[in-house]
Order: sequence, then C-alpha cells, then structure tokens
Amino acid sequence: MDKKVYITASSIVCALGEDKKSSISKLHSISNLNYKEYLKNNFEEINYYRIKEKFNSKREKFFKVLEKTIKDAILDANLKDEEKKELHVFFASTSMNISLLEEDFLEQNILSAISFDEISEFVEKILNTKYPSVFIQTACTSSANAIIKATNFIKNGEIKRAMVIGFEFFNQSTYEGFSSLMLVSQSGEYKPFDKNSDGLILGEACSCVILESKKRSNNDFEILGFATTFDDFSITSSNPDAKATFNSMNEALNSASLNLNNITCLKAHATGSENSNLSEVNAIDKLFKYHNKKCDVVVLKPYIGHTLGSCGTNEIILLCESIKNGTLPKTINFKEPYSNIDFTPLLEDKKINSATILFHFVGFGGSNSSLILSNEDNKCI
Amino acid sequence: MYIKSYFSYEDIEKTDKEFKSMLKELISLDTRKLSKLNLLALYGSSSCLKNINYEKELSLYIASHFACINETFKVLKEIKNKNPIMPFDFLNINTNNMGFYLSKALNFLGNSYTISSEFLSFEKAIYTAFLEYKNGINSSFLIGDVDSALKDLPYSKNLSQIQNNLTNDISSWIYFENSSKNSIAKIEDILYFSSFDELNSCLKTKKYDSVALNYFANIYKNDLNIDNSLLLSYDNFSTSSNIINLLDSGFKKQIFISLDSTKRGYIIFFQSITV
Repeated sequence: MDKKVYITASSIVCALGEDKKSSISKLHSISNLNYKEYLKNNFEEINYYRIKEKFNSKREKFFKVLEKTIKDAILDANLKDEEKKELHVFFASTSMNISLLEEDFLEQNILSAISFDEISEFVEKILNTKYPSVFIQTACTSSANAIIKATNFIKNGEIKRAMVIGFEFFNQSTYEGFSSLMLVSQSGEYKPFDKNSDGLILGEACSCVILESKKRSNNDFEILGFATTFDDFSITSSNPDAKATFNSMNEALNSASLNLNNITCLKAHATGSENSNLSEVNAIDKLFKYHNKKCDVVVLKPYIGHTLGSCGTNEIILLCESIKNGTLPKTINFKEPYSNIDFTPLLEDKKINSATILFHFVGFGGSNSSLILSNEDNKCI
Repeated sequence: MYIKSYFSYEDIEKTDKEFKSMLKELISLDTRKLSKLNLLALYGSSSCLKNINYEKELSLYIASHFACINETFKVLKEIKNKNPIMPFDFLNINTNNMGFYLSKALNFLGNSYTISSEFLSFEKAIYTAFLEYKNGINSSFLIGDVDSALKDLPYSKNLSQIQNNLTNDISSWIYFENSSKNSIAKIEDILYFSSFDELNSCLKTKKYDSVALNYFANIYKNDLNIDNSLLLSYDNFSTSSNIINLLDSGFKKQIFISLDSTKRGYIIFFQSITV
C-alpha cells in the first residue's frame, strides 16, 4: 500500500500575525526598506520575535494559542466530529512546556506539571481523538520529523489522518541558554547566509498541519518525498564537510524520484549561526554542482525568527501559503554572499502560485530532515 | 521484528558519580558534563549492545515520560537566583541530546528520536518501530526507556500513586533486527485498541501461554479477558522492565497488555525463539 499524503489544512500564530491570512499578508508587506521598522515593532526589551497578542500569563498564552491554532486548522479542513476522532496527534517542540514550568517556579516556587501530560490531555479533550498523542523531540527538526513520521504512517495505510502541532513559546531558560552558547545575534539583525551574519534571533510560534490521503482543495500540497540523516560531529553545529546535509537533500530528491530540474525552490534551514550556516551553504552549493542545476533558495527565519522545534510546521505553512497566494517570498536583509559559493538566496519576490519545494531543516545533535512538497499537478506522481 | 538483545535496569537512585564509574568499563566517551539522564541512557544502551554485533544504521527511539524535568529544575533554580545559565546545563535540558551521546559512544549513525506519550511512551516507541519494520522503512532499532528518579521537585499537585513510585532510575533497552539469526525472541504483532471492549474481544481469540501487564492494565486486570493462571506479576514500575522480565520467563507464546488511565492500549505478541 502506498497512499498519497497531502497537507489539507493548516494554521499558524507567529510574530507576523495571529492567523494564516494576516501572517501571509504581513510577510508580503515586508521589504528591505521597512525591515528595521518591522523588527523595532516586534522586539521589546530583548531581540526576540514575539506573538503580538497580550495575555495575563504564560499559561494563558500557551493554552489559548494552542487551542486557537488547533481550532483554526479544524475549521480550515472543515473536519467533521467523526474525522476529528480519527486524528493521530503529533506534538513537536524543543522547549516543550518550559515556559509553563518557568512561570510556576519563578512566581510561585512550585511546578504544576512534571510531564507533558497536561498538554496532551488538553488537546485530546478538544479533539476527542481515539488515539494517544505523541511528543517527538529531535531539536529543531522536531516538527519536520513529526510530519515525516505521520506521512509514513498514512502512506502505508496505518493511520487515516494526522495533526502535527509545532509549538515554541518564549522562555528565559532557552533564551539565556542560546546566549550562553554565543549563538545569539548581537547586532539584532537576522541575516542568515550573509557573510556578515552574527548569529540567530529566536522567535515563538505555534502552528498546525493536517495530513490526509485525499486532497480537500485543488492546490493542496502533496508530500512527495523525504529523507533524514544524522551526523555526530557536534552537539550544537553541523559538520563543515556538509555530507549529512547534502545526503539528506539528495536522498529526499531520490525518494520523490525527482532531480533538481523539477524543483522550483529550496527552503533552507539558514539558522544564522556561523558553523551551521557555512555547512548548509556548502551542502547547497554541492547539491547544485552535483545536479549541474540551480534553483531559487528561500530563507524565512528573518520574518519570524528561529522558532526551534516548531520551525518545520511554521516554515512549511508560511511558504506553501505564500505560494498559494501568488508569491515566492524574497530573502530579506541579505547583503553579501560567502566567497567561493556560487549562489545567493532569492532577493526579489517572484509571482507564482504553484511550486515543487525542497525543504531542509537542521537540528542540534546532528539531525537533518528534508521534505519535498508540491502543488504542481505534473509533479505529483 | 527479532529481538537480538535486551537489558533492564530499574533500581533505587544512584548518583552521577556512581554511573560515571560504571560507564568507565563500558564506553570511552568523556562523561564529565553529562546529565544524569544522559548517563542513565548511556549505561543501559551500552549494556544492551555490549556483546552483540549491531547495525551502524540503526534507528534509535528513546522513550521518556518525565524527560529532562530534573535538569530543567536545575536551570530554573539558577534563573530564580539570577545566576547565568551554563552552556552544558542548557544543553542538558534538551532531551534529544541523549541520541547524540549514544551515537558518539556506540558508534552508530542512524536517526534518533525522543518520544513521550503519557504512560505509554515505551509502547508507542516499540509500536512506531514495529510499523517502520513492517513497512520496510528501517530494519534495525534500538529502543530504550529512560527516566531518572524524581526527587526534591516542588510539585504542586498530589503525586498520583504511579508518580509516587518513581523513586527508581530506569534505563531498559531492547535491540531489534529484521534477521532471525542469533535472535532471542520476536514480536509477532502489536495491536492498538481505543476501545476496551474490542481489546477484550481480541483477547478471547488469542492463544498464549503467559501474559504480563503494565501498571494500568494491572489495575484493570479483573476486567480483562485473560486466563489468570497464566498471569506473570512483576514488581517493577516501568513497562520496559516488565516486558523484559516476560521475555526472560521462558514461555513460548507471550503477550503483554499495556493500558493507559482511560483503558486504551496495546497488546504486544511475543514468541520466544529456542536455539
């Protein structure tokens, strides 16, 4: 059995907006001319891409945003009650419930949760699903890997439909942790893949995709292929030899029976930290040379920050929805490429409404995940 | 899916120093800055793989119910005291780094995943691997169940009995491959039931010569359609230790029943392989 798998619905709350529509509209309105203004409006006392809506507590924010994201996705798919019960829920995050633990302990000296059960119980109650949900942690590739796991199960007929929820909420532990590793940008300007990039800027977001074996609308993106690889070079950065990253992207192409000629664009992870940037840039350069073909390279983190384990669902939704709305978005704040590298990211918006995209994600601990998604009829084999 | 090796560790809490000393005999990795959870994972996994040839491309699944809660609490205390967070303390609150250290120590390069699924984490990990095996996605799997003893956490709620029992360190592991050569047992099937009635109906039709239960299944054992004379009871807290005890029991056809608090759950069918 080898069923097709489509993203039939999605939702997102992020620094760009409180839902999918407002996020895409904002994404299209940002340019190099107004980027600094966007950052100024976004960053508060620290450089961090925040969800704009104000809440009384971190707990309220966590569960309200989670609930909204789930309900928006249900509405987007127009899922019936019986269909909701069939959902297999995959949670993916790096910091999981740390924002909740932090608020409890810093304000009341207690911990009101010592496992993730309150999150799964909350969501299972909303959906009334028959199946126990699962939390997948593979650092920044968590939600990409959760999509891959769910896709495999649907392809093989093991499950009917899945909901993958990527979430990351601000917490001091993660923010200070990244600072302690000297990975956070001091300039406050996110410019991954730029020769002068000085680090990453974190962000918070929550997003949700529903995966099913049948399309709900004509321009739903199909998941055509995927691959994962691993390197044990360093816990915090990728191997400069770029082999694992190259292999992940190339194996994803092979798994979809495609080559680079079939790819409209490559959405890079583009974390912003020096070693990982250089490794990924080398891998992309190598991929282009291997296939003797280039494609547009898209970088999204300057729009919403590095949203860690949730970046898979967040960036997949933003790019797919942007294309459905007619635009392949440019990379903002890019000035100078690395020397000896024969490509630059896409610098001007392109007007398209269908595409075949190679997505790549990298995580702490050496994990690489690549997926190929398409809403071009002739690519969906 | 054939079981090549297993190792069970469930014992009263040991110190980091004790684990580091035990690990010296097993691996050569520098363990100085590793968290207790990482040390536990390294101890169990390296013990499981100690005497066998294993695939370097194995897929690693680490099930953990409480994950890095002890390490996170350590970081929270630093934040509360307005102390800077040290890089390794931060890295230790990321559960997925267990996979990195295991790969380094045991020299394998497959993908690694950390999985939590309420009180069915280990079962979910085995089920995920089983489906991947069945569908030809991967052929070798190392699956672990790792939790460090809960201690001194200012938990605001009354600890349920199950959480009260978690004063032990747990690191139990099973290594699976697709070939029967040198195998101890095999998993014949794993079935999931969202309905307790359906689970019971299925049990009526199955033949087995021994049965063991997880914590919640034991609570509901009088409602289960099982032959009580075949029931093997163990004193462990964790499912993984109970499964390994069942595998050690010497019976030919074994089933393990795992339920959650709402009576949803899995039946795992094992068959021992006699040489």
